[in-house]
Amino acid sequence: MKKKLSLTVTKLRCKRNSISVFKPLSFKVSEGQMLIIKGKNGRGKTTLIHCLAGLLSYQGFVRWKGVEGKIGYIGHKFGLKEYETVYDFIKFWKAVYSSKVSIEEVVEFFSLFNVLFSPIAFLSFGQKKKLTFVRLYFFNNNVWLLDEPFSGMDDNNRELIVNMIESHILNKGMVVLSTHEKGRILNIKNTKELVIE
Amino acid sequence: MNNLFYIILKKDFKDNLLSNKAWFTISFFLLCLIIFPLAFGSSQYLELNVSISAIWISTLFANLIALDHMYKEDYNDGTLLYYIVNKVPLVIVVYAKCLSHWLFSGLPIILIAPLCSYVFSGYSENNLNLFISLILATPIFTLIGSPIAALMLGSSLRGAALTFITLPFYLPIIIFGVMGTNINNSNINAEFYLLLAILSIGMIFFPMITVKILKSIIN
Repeated sequence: MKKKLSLTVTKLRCKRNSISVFKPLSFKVSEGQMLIIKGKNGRGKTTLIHCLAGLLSYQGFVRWKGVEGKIGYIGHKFGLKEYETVYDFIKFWKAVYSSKVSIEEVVEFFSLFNVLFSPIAFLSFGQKKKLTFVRLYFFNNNVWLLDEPFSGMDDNNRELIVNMIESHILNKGMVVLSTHEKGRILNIKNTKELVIE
Repeated sequence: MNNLFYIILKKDFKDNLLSNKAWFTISFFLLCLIIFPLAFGSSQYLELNVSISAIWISTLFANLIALDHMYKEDYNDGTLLYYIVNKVPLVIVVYAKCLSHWLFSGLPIILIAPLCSYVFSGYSENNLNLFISLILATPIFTLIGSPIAALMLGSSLRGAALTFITLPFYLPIIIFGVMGTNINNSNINAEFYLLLAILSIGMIFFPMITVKILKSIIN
């Protein structure tokens, strides 16, 4: 039997340059649930997400249960090469994840027909950000950590990503995202909110 | 696992070609080499010793300069971050990077150096020795440079510091390399064995250190 997916965090603290970034945090997220991290700039939203991804060392406990394979992550850095074409980018990450999703499917889903063979340097900020979501689409992981996924996106792209997140939640996934958006962005009932002070 | 290695190697190879850095090392090597006959100020052949040392000095500096952009781009644009978060084994990434770096900074020099030696000195007896010692030494240059290049990623005066830190570690290699090139009786090849020993230890040792350093630097 598969283990149920859950994330338990107790008394998480993180020090950068010997200053504690946030007060000890404790929360729990379970399968099919979304955690929205809110807070002002510089309060440690990105740091928290990096702690959860295992990039930073921390005090306290972060327990993942039932994670299949890799953790999906979208950060402030895109990981795109300016001189590469969009097609090469998609092909490379498909190969790295040895994914069974076809390139045509990705191109259609993200509507990349117009820019498929142009270098990434020609794309706008929003288009580049959209490209980073291709990585999430490729592999079948049940945990997504998204660091401000909506910044710099227009309405169409935002809708695309909202759809992605919603269908991911419906597939018993878990999403942790940080955002500055006010009000309800997503049509998901099962959300938790964490405000870092 | 093997498959992943080829994919990343191919991508690195392509990156090197596309970002116009591939030709930098070999052109710097040739540029450096051309200065030597000019600096001697005569149209005569150079002494054999001088031409060999010219080749080794040029190799050293070309490699030192090429080290800087070994991991720089992947670090700056966040590709390394995605490798780590998505649990792509870093060992494979590091080996692929080392190999692709050597293909552009070591291999062209190995191929072109015996010809240069012949053109400069008029002798061709030492060419085989030069070829073998360069084959052994240039991978060691790349391997030693890799952890130091990784270590310097966060620093703001990367270029200069990298050169100063790496140079002392290159000295033993260049000493044995030059000695290996100069031997006359080919029965005793102690220098080659020594370089080979360093290379075979280094092939395991330096990538491992690089992985550790990359993991801690990404924080």
